[in-house]
Amino acid sequence: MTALWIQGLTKEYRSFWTRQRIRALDGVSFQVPPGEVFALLGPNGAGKTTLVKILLGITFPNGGDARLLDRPLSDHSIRARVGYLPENHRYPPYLTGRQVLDYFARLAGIRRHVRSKRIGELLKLVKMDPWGDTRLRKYSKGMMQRLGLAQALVNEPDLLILDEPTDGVDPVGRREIRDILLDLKKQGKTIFINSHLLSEVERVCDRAAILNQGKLLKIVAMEELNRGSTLYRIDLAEANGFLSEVLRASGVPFELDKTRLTLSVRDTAELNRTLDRLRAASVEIRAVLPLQSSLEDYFIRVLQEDRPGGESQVESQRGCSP
Amino acid sequence: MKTLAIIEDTFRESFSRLTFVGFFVLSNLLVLAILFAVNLDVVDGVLAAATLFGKELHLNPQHGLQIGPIIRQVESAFAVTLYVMSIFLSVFATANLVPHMLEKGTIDLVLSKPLSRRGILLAKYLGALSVVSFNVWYLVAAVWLILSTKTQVWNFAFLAAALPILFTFAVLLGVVILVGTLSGSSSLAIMVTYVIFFVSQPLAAREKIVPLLDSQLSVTAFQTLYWVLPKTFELGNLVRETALSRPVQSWTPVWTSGLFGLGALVAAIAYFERKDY
Repeated sequence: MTALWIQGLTKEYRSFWTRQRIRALDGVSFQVPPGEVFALLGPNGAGKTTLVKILLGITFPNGGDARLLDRPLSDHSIRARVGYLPENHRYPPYLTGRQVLDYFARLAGIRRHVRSKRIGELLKLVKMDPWGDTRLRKYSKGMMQRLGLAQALVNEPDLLILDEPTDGVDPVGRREIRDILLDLKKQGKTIFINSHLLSEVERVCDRAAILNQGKLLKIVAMEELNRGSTLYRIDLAEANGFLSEVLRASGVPFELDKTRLTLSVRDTAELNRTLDRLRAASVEIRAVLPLQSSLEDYFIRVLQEDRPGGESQVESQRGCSP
Repeated sequence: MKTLAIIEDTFRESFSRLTFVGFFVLSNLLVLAILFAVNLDVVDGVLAAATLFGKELHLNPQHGLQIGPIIRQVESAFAVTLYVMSIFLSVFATANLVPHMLEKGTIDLVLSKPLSRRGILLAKYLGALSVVSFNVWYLVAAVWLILSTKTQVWNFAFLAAALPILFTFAVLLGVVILVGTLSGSSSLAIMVTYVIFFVSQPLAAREKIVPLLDSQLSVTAFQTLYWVLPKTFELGNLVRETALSRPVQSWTPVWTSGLFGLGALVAAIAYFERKDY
């Protein structure tokens, strides 16, 4: 069984006046097994939202095939087991949060006695219970996003499709949403996320697909990424004479610019070992900052490789790295 | 249950809008005007005195006026007024329902639920029709109740006049939904529907106009328009005849208009089922 099965999916938009064709998806194929948290990454206009819209029957493909929870997309009843949070969603402003959840639960076919209990639980889960009876026109963007997540969960879906779930949410709210997603992952739900926040994706997802100009470039497992190196910036109080010697002895690639040290380590254990060596050599450390997430590195590298002549650019950058 | 949810939401959406509130306020103003402005003194079934907005109407005392026929005439005039007013306001008030549903961020959510597209549009149609039915029945019943209480003439046929009003709205709602689905514009939907509503009057006079046309092409075009478009003018006459308890002279305007409304609704569904959002 697969939660999501996509084979050669193609979508072409044609301008009515100019007859110009724009290929939004070009033969995309992949599968997502049940219980996996899968991310779809790509720059603006890569075709991510088009793909999601096709999966939910909002847009129709020109070619290829796809199945949701082993059922064809034409079977709209399967969407009773799918939760969806669209990007820039708009709920009726004349409703309260509770009424919105009730309305969408009814559209999903949830019975009254189940609805009222479920809605109360969800408002608590997304920390919106104090505003459940407030009209939406008084909600902030972050509150709308929390309500949107509750709406997507109202039918207890087996497959959750989220388009920019943390968009407009403050850092605390982002963390809470991330915790909810991790909890759903533990419950064995399949989650499909479209997001630009790669650090969030990296923390929650099992695998990520990278799309560019409608084409699937790569699918990467987060475990694989973690096996690569990660950059950290270390701010030192002052650079003593033994510093370079200590670092060379540790075998970790580094770059030193006065009191700013850049380390390339394989994992946090290697980072801690190196920091211990520095402290042992009486080097005072003021700050340790991760420079870029490894997914971000990977994402940019994949996109650069996709450009014409991209491979040579990547090589020259690698040559500059510590 | 899902269809009912959309119908209920259409009610809530309608009453959250100023257009529907305006419709309701105007209806109440009309009812209040009738309540306070019209005063009739009836003695033994004969109209003895009548005042309109406080001004006494001069009745010939030697020809004691039977109140029944007068009230039926008054009510039929009210019925035709209500017909034009209800259609005008209802089209205006419901034209935004479909374009609003089609807005980005709203349509995505509705289409992602386990509903057929056909079911969604039909539920929206039924929702709009239910809201207008509520308003029209309220208006017609209130006017009937006031006139009947004041005159003790209980003309139930006046209540039945709500049926052709609602039928005409149901036909025109098909056009509102079709134009709204095709263009996503409520303004265009209002314009097209009003044109169809008002063009019916010259088309109904085809027996006088056709002999004046020069070419066969003009005659054919005129006749085609008459037969294809809804016959709102004749349906207005049907409202008056119903209020007067007269039998229907011809069902042709009813079934041809019904076919047009059905065709518009089917075309809207066919387009909506294939459209990318």
